Amino acid sequence: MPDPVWPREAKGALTGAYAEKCTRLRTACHTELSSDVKVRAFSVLGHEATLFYIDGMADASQVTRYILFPCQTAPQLPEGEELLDHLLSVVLPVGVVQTTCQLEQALSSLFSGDALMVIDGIDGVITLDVKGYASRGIAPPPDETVIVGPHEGFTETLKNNLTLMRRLMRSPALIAEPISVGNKIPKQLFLLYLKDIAPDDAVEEMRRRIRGCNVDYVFSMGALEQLLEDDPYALLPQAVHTERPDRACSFLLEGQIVVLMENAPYAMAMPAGLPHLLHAPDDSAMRWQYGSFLRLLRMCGLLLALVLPALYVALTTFHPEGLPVTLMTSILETQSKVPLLLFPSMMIMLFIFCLINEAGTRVPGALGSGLSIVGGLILGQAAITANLFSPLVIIVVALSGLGSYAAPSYSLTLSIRLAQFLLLILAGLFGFLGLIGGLFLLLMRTAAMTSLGRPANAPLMPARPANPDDLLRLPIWRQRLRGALSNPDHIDRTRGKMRAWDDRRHS
Amino acid sequence: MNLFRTTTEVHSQPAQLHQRWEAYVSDQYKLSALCLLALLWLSHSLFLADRVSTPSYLSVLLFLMPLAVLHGVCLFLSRRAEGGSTLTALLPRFLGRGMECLIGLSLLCDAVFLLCGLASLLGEMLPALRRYMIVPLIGAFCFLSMLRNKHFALLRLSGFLFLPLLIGIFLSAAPALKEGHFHHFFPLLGSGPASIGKGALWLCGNLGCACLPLLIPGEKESLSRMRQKGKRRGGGFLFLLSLYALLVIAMYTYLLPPYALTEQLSMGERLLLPVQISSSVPGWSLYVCSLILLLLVCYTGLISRSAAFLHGSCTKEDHPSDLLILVLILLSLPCAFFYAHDVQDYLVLLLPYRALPYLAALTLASIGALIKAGKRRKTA
Repeated sequence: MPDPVWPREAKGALTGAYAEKCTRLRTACHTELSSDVKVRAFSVLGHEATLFYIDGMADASQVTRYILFPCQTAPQLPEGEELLDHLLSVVLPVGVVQTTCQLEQALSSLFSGDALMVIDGIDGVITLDVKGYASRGIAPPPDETVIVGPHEGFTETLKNNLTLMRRLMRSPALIAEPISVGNKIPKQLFLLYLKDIAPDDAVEEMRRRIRGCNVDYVFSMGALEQLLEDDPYALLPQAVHTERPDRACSFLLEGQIVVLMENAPYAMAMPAGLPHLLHAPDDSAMRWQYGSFLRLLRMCGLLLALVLPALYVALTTFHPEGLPVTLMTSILETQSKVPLLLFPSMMIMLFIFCLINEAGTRVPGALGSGLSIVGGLILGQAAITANLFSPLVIIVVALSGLGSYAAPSYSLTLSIRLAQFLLLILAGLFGFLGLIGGLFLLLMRTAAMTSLGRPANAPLMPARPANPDDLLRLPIWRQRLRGALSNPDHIDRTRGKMRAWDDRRHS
Repeated sequence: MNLFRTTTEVHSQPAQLHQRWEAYVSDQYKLSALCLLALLWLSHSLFLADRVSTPSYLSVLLFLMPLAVLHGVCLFLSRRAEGGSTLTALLPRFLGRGMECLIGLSLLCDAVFLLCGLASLLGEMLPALRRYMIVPLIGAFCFLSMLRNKHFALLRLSGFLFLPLLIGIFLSAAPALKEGHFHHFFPLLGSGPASIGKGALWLCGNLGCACLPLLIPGEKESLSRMRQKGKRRGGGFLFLLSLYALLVIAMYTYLLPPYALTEQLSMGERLLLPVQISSSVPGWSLYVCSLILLLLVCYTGLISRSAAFLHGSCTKEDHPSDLLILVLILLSLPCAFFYAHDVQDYLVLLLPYRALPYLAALTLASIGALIKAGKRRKTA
């Protein structure tokens, strides 16, 4: 990993006399400029000491109760005892205590919420874990609501998120590997994977990529995804995000690697491809018939969103022989009153739909009803009445919009919208040849996609023996194999029948 | 900025390599099967429907028999020979560099044949677009999809599209079946057994060997490392596929309008005939989409395999360069653009004879395998 790029005054060994160490820390923390860096001098066991902590990041009551009070009320150091040993074993009732002589490490702990204690007569500094910053409580995930299933979501606190995962997977096989990213301001990550189930080379590849991120600061999980993905120019995402710990656990069980990040209220799983983006969180919680039906519905919706506008334009503009005469007459009648040609009017309508959608996402809640009036009434009804757009065009755009909303992933929705425009342009210019050629290109790009160096869309492209839970969700007792991206040496989820009590053959 | 960059795949465990090899072989078979189906369909529309008269599907049935015999012989031989289990085990033995070059050129001819058919079909469907727009556009789609060596992607896509395409082609005829002409099946022997036999012989020459080279993996170096314990598949798969082709061809023969067999029609008109009597929008769209996609995938597949063989005959590197693929596409375009009818006629005459060197080499390889197996048995 590249060395963190710290200011020159914040680097090097923290050794020397007590006063010198305090001065270096003060200089490095810019105490005269940053008012939230608190410095408190006191005496402990007859030695001078100074405590550094960040107000708001460290819990002030813990600082008082577990550091200042015990130190100031401690009697003299008994004869023959080491100062540091006595301090750690008798005086300080703090769980996680470390000593360090590296200024970078000390400052990293300080700005993570720990307190630093400099004591006359002890080399380096003592870091004390008294983190206590304000954080959001665990709440239902707002963007991944389910009907059936748990209602806990990740928060911005890394520790809480890790706890949620541990609570669901109480096994030593769950490895939570700390790693940081960012040169100037490092950000804490946790790589989560199941030992033996996640392929070793995929874990190593993930480590290599994270260590190879040569950026000063990673501001979000989305930015990290862009730094890690295989093909930055691909339309489809190569990682899947979730706000739900139960879904993150299911990724782990399929052999994927989950990344948790400080200040990110969701987890990212890699490798991932189209099959993962099509799954909704409660598919597995429902009975297989319902889950399969909903997945089928979702796929039809997405296909509709992708192809319908282009198909309509291609059929009516270039291949009217494919339509029955009555339908064609009706289309021509409505279209004859409209000044615009079909292709540009479809493009404009799709653009307006995307605009309303984007405005709806950004607009404050109180203005939402106004937006729906503008979108629904003015642009819909009035545009038809004024003969600006044909009603059939609006129906096609509405249907395709509805289909795109069926995607469980927002990234997938956006990629479908972009592909929709591409196909529409090709179909508008070259009819069915453009439509099929565009689809062929998109499918080839999707088939070539890799995630963490593996075929991202396995087991669809290429077909592989894996859990029959990719497109449809077959019965849970048929899912004897793990995902296609898991370690093939441990691909069996179980040996023998899953419903061992059932003597019938199908179980 | 390179818009088509992907990283190389990371695989280190033997089980993963084996899994990848299995998927590769399976997809290779599926691409071959699709190519065979497309070539059969075009050949039937262009050649058989006229010469053999209506029950030309019987020629397809006759065409299947040598294929089955060939498969049986290879199975018999390879069980006695060392190594693999079926046809693909024998084929690499006669792949000298000259033969690779010949196969490459032969596949390029097939690609041109497909391109002529596709361009003619699209010319009928898109009268608003001139042929000089359609043909380069097909080439552009092919090149863009193959840019940066997307051979693996094409195979994966073939594997993925295989069943949907077969089902789509079958289902697209279903809505119109009630409007078909049953008398097209009679007299059962059409213009006579000799004519049907001649048609079958033509198919054998043209297609029986055209599909075989597609089954040989081009990336010898990397794939031989992956091969480890991979089990190889046989030509039984091709046989089943041919049966499916027979069914589909018979079904579309049943759907031909009455004037179809008396008038001189272009390839595109012939391909569009079966859906002209159908009033079903989904049936029409499904048929046209399936056919264009099938021909596009197969044209790209044939160009890719042709480039792989031509490249393999000159160098030891795994993948053909983008430049070679572009050159082959550019070579194929003028044929479909300027001289489509002439090229089609020449290809129809020429292609059946390419079977001869294949068959000779295959016979030699079979004899060699038998002698080797006999010697081994004696020493054992």
